Amino acid sequence: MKFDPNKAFPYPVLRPYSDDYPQVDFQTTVDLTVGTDNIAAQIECAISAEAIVDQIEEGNAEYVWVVSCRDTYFRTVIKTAQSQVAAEFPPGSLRGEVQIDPYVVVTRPIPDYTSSDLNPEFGKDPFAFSPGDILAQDEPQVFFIDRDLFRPLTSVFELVKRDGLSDGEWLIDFEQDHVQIQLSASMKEAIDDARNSPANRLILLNSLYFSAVTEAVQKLLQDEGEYDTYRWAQIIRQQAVNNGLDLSAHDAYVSANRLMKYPLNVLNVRVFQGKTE
Amino acid sequence: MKLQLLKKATVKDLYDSVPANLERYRIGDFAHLKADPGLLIESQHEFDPSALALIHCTKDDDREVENCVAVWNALHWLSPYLARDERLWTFLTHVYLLEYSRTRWPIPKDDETAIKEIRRHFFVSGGRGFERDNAVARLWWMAYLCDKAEGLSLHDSLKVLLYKYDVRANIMERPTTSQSIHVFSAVLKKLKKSYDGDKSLFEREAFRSAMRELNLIGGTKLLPALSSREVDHFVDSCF
Repeated sequence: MKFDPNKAFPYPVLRPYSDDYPQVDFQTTVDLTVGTDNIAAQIECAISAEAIVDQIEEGNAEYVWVVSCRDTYFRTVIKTAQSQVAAEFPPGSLRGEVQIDPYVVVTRPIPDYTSSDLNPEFGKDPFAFSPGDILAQDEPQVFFIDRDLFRPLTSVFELVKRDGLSDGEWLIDFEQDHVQIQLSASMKEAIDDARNSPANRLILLNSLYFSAVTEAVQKLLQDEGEYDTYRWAQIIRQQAVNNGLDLSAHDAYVSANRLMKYPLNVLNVRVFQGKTE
Repeated sequence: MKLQLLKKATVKDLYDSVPANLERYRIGDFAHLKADPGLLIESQHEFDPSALALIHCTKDDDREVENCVAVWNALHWLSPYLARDERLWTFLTHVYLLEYSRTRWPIPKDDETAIKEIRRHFFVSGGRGFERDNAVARLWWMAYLCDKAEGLSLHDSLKVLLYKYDVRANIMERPTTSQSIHVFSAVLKKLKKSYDGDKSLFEREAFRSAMRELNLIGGTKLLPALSSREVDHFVDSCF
């Protein structure tokens, strides 16, 4: 069952963008952690409609989270009377887009449901619900699982030499799966050597790569679909989703800073203060 | 031996070189891929390539069910994550299962058409390239789905799923049906009953009409949250 704000149910459903219940909410938060041995999700729901909470407490309904992954045909259904749950999934079971759909679903017939939170337009007559009917639905939470998403963001860039550039001059080509940072031959050689030192890598992260990530984000903000098929664009967009970052809500440099996990701070700790991990 | 995958760059080179390699696809081979470690990466999984020898077909008999079972027996331990990796299937279609792939999906005489067909069936492209197009990946993914069906053997599930393309596409492209084990199993059981009888459910309009009714129910009932008995009840009312 897809979340569709325009869909009409034959009974009232508490859900976003609907005025079946004008003054109350059903909201879900999901915290997904990807480890080497498993993928863990901490899911929590908050519901302010007392009549629905009563039905859950009486055992007539329960929280249901449908976790699905279209690429791997994975689907699991978590059902509980508790408003929060911890779940684990085998790492090999999920790849690409993973969606968690939150519901409150009827488990036993409810012949005479009423709620003071219902829109008065429904009138005073009670509603009858049967198992499988939906009392509440929240928007799906989306995550992306792919080994490329758990590599540093700089992995979408590659340094290439380009004839005709002077030392210190560099250009970026976004028309590839990897973003190409083009440098003169001698500058590329110097950077390749410099990358052997952790301190130098941090300096590069805060200079060349930070500028390149900022420009890549800027390109995506202006994008009208021309970069959609490039792997770098997919990875930046999916990393933003996984980090709860709305690229369109911030200037490009702010998003770049978050996506790169505040590289100035790492430079400060490891190089300026000389601390090791 | 360890299961090997092509490197990403090797896949890209092969894909770009299809026009130059047409004769290899028609009558030659890609044995050099297996011989050059620089083109491959090794996974941690043990793998016996001789198990793939059971996968074969002729131009008159595609042996789809038998080949799905053979791929499944050889590679059932693959995680869906790895089974979603084009580097694996591109390696298998070019090396161990080249002969099967070009017999099952004959390479057209016209070069332009041949390039398109090779890229479709020897590589993986597009959203449904794994379960629909790649000559070997599609066998694995159909077996993977059918192995999960409740109340039917793998062989019977495959037999009914593979009987008509339209029915198969309708099931596999609807996540509500293909991802929910109870719904998938209930629909396959209906198809099996029809297969053993007059096969009327395999008629395009009959199946589509039943699926439309099931979709209508799925619009207001959360079918994946129901027990198999409850799902069977709703499926019975549609088919």
